[in-house]
Amino acid sequence: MDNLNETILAVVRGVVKEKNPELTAIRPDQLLVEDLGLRSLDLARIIAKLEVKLDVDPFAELVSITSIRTPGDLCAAYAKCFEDEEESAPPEESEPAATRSRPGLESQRELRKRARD
Amino acid sequence: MSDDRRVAIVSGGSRGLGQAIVEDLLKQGMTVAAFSRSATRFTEERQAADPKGESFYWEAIDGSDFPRLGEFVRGVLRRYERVDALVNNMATMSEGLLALMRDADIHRQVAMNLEAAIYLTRACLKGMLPQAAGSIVNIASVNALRGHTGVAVYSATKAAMVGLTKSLAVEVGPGGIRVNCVAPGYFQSEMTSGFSDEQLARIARRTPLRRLGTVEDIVAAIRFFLSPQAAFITGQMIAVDGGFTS
Repeated sequence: MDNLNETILAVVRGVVKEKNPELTAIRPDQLLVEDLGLRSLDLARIIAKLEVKLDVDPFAELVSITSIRTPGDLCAAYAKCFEDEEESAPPEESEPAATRSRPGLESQRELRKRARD
Repeated sequence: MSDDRRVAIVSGGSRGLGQAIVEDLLKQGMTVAAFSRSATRFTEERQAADPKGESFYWEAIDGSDFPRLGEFVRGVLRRYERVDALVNNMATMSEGLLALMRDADIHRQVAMNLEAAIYLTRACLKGMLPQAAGSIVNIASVNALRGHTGVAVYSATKAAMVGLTKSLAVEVGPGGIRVNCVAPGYFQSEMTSGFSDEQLARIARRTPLRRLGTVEDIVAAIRFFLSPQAAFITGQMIAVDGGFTS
């Protein structure tokens, strides 16, 4: 989980840094818009980057994008994806989320199916 | 398989205009990933010449299978690690009076011509936004600009492509992504192959430049929008119609 949070915060930090090079440190409780100066398109970029890195998109169905106000909210949203997956994964596959191979489309489809059910 | 080659996705890239777009992009040194409902001699020959898919990749996908569109783009991103351009070319047309048109024909045109383009564009943005760069060209039609009997649904979907172009250009411009639109007029293609000589002559007479377009006329406009020469152009439409809609 630490690895996952670090991956997410590193991506947020990267996008924030592009917009405001002076803001090098970010906290999970800072507001993305008010404190970090991000706009909705920046959030879309963050989510796109994370989808490439993690191969999941929690906002496709599991989580509402409007509930995301802080980097901590983002971490919680992605954790939800991987928690659901770890519960159903065999023990030998339950290595840290950010380092294991991408869960792949099949698993994401399964996640979405479970969310609907 | 990542290198410096730019990667383009072309919907409906197996025959007609789509094939010409794919050939042109390959000629420009781009890697092209295309899909269409079924293989053609063109896709088979290309695949045979490039079995590892280093510069050309093709899949059989029905455009109305929206989840497959997202999977295709994710597959392209895994394979080439980038998406630089998208040409939303795929379209279908069922001619007939709207009052008599079957539900299935209405649904299929809206799904293939509009919804698929929206889903495909959304998927490609996931690749373009992280790069802070990208160029999208939507193929509309002169039917989006001028009314004609028998193509109300087709015209509605093509007019929607113009709306998609303009709003999305504003939305993703700050992210370094350009969105433009090409509206072909009547050009020599499968679509006009069923026209009688008299119909073709009438279209030419009504066209200020006194001829039908060619596939190359349309491809040239797409090539321009995707090129660095159009780096400061977004949200625009070019009607390639010999002045038909002027």
